[in-house]
Amino acid sequence: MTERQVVVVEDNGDIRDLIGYVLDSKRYTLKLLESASAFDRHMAEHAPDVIILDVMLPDGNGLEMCRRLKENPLTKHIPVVLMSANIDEYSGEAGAETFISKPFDIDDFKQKIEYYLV
Amino acid sequence: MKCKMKNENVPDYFALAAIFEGIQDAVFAHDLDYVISSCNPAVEEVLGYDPGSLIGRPIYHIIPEPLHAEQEVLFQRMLQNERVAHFRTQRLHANGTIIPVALTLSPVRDHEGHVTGASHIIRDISSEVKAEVALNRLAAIIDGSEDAIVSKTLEGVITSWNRSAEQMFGYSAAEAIGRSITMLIPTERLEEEDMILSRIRAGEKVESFETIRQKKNGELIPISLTISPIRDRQGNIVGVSKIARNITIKKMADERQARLAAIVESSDDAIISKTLEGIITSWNKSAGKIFGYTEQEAVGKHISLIIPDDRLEEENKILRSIRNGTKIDHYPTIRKRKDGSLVTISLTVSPVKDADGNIIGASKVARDISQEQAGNEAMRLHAQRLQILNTMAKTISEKLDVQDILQKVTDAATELVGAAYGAFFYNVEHSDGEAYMLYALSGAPREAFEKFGMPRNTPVFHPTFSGEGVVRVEDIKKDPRYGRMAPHFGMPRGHLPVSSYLAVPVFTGTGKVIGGLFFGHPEPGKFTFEHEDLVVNMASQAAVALDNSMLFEQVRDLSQKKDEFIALATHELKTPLTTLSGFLQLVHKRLEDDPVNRSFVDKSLSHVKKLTTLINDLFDVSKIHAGKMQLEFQDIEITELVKDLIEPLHQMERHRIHLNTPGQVYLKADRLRVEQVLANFINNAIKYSPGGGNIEISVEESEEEVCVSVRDEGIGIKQENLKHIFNQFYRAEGLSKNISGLGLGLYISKEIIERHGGTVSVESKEGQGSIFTFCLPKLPVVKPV
Repeated sequence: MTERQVVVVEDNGDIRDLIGYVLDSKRYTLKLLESASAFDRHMAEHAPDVIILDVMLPDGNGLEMCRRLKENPLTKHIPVVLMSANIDEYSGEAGAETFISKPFDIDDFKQKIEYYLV
Repeated sequence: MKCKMKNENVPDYFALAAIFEGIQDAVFAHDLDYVISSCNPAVEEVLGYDPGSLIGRPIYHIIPEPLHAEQEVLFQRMLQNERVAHFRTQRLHANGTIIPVALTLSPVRDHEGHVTGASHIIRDISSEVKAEVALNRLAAIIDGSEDAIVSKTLEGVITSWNRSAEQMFGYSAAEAIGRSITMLIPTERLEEEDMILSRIRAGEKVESFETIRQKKNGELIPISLTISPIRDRQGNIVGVSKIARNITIKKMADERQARLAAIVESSDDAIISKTLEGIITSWNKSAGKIFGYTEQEAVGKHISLIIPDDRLEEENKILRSIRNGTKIDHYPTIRKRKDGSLVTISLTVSPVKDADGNIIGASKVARDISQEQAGNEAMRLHAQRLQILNTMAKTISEKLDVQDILQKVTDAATELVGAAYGAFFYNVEHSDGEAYMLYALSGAPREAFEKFGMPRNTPVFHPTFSGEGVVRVEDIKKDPRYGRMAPHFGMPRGHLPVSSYLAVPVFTGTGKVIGGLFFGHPEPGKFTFEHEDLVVNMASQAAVALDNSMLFEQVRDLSQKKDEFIALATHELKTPLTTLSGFLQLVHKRLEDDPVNRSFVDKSLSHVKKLTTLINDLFDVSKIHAGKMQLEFQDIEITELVKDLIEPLHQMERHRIHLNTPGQVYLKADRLRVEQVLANFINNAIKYSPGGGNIEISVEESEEEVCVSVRDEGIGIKQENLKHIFNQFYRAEGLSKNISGLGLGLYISKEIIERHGGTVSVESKEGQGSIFTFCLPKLPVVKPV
């Protein structure tokens, strides 16, 4: 069985570090990306098990990225968790599985992500 | 038998005797003892006595008793040589009647001249007296007549003059008799008298001749004359009788009628009479003027002559009403002129009655109310203008959209000035008089203008765009400013035809020209000063509205910038908060063996949470204000949601939380937002019951809605503050300093619930606690912002 992979796209380095600590697990690999373009490059070669997208990225919009993933038959099965400081930015229309508002409870966060790895 | 003459000494006795015997009068002689000594044969004829029977009888035999004394007196007067001749008295007839007689008494003397008796000559004057009485009666009648009765000779000399003549003409009989009748005749009528006299001389009678005569005081009186010839016994015309009747009263009646006729004739109203069948019987001058038919053309025709075909039934109604004796008063209607044109009239129709009160026709007074109507029309127009102005003013003061305002003002102004086309060019930013960016049109489609571009700063447009003033021209094509600019030298080909031209600059409050209102009409001379005045007023109103609109747009821009800023700020604030919160939680986990430091981290975390809530609330309010709070409806189960929320709270020291729920309760709502409201209610319950106690959460479900209430045993809310509790920035007064907040939570909760189509409510008793409830419809109604 191949290693599970969780991809996080978050432009703020400190939050990336935080998520790195929170999701520190032997059970899956964690790929922390800082931009939409890095995510696109990563997706060209990988098929992650869970994707965590910050909505507001300097070079992209998490909602739009999620929509594209869900429209693509190759990626539409991958659970997407949207993450934003603004709960109104959550949109079911984008097709994301769930939404995490910042700031978040770290246990809650970890539980929500790992739920999709069962 | 013959009377024998006693005195034989008288010369020519026989001649005397013959006379005595022959005369018609009764003749007696008596002696000094009054004994009849002789009598003539006429005694029998006059008094009915046989002459022989009277001889030797006293004279008193033939004198009525009461006159005996008279006889004595007369005799004595005779003796004293007084002549007693033709003395009227009475004598007894042999048949016992008393007859009127004329008595002449003469002394009888002897040859020595001594009086020996007296002779009586008695003439029967019965017929004379009768005629006299008849004459007196006639005189009395003449004197008593109310008509003046005058007789005159054929030469016109007045011979009699009765009492009424005295009264009528003012001359007494004494003054009048003997004078010429011409004194009564006004100079201009003197010929009349010649005519009358010539007719009388011809033996004709003149009857009821109406003329004028002059009174003594110069006053003229109308009289009716009846003049007859007076004939003598032989039938010769010897004079003229004249009966004059004062006809002043009749004359007055005639005059009254004449005056009425004159009034009818001179009236400005058409006055028409007609029979009950509608046949015109009279037609005054104004009727001619109003309807165009002359009297000759109209009289005898049916009244439908002047009734338009579509109103013929109206006349039947009028006639019916008249037959019933009902007057028709000031009925506004329309009639037809001879030339076929229509005239608006006000009709008054009254029944005409004969002397017995029978309705025999109708009089019709028709007033031409075209002008009145025009006045009413002017008033109506004025009212309509006010209406348009008011509507426009109301609309533009309510509207904040520039294009809307331009359109409303253009439409209203175009209608008011009666223009064929109207345009409003509005310079939004530029003030160089060239670039008019926005415009509204009325009376013409946009395409009619679009191909020509915006009006340029030509001599025609310059006064408007530069703010020099109003341009109002009867015919713009004849104006010296027209047609001077390349490339069109006048209106471009295909331009709407414009002759009448009105252009009014529109100024801002600061006097800057911001646009112009332009009106055109294909016919010249359509716009008046009044129109100009109206548009100037409208332009200033429009300017105010446009100013407001500009301000509004600026504010709206600012508001949008503010919202964008807050969204950004929220994001920027939350990034460090997320880091702070996350790392503190990590530290918290690593301090399991260090309860003191762990409690410090706990405090830090709780303040991070508060800070997060405050930032969220600020952002929510900004979104509510901008109308941008979006709801994500999904199926949620409310009991589960409450349980998740209260789960971490069970470890609280002072508060115990209870949940009453019928089980699973589903509804459609925005999960995060409902969670936010519940959290707000529960946090408030904890916050406002600092002494602790029970917090009871109840979920209730009915067919239409789901209600969740949160009850606490806290400090409660004063009754007078309850109505403010859901207001923005409201915070109960007198709260302890430990209870912090911006006063936004309940306001946001109320907005969230109401946006779901639900309601929030509160019950509270000060010192006993509060119950906050929200109810959500099971089928959400998304209220428009």
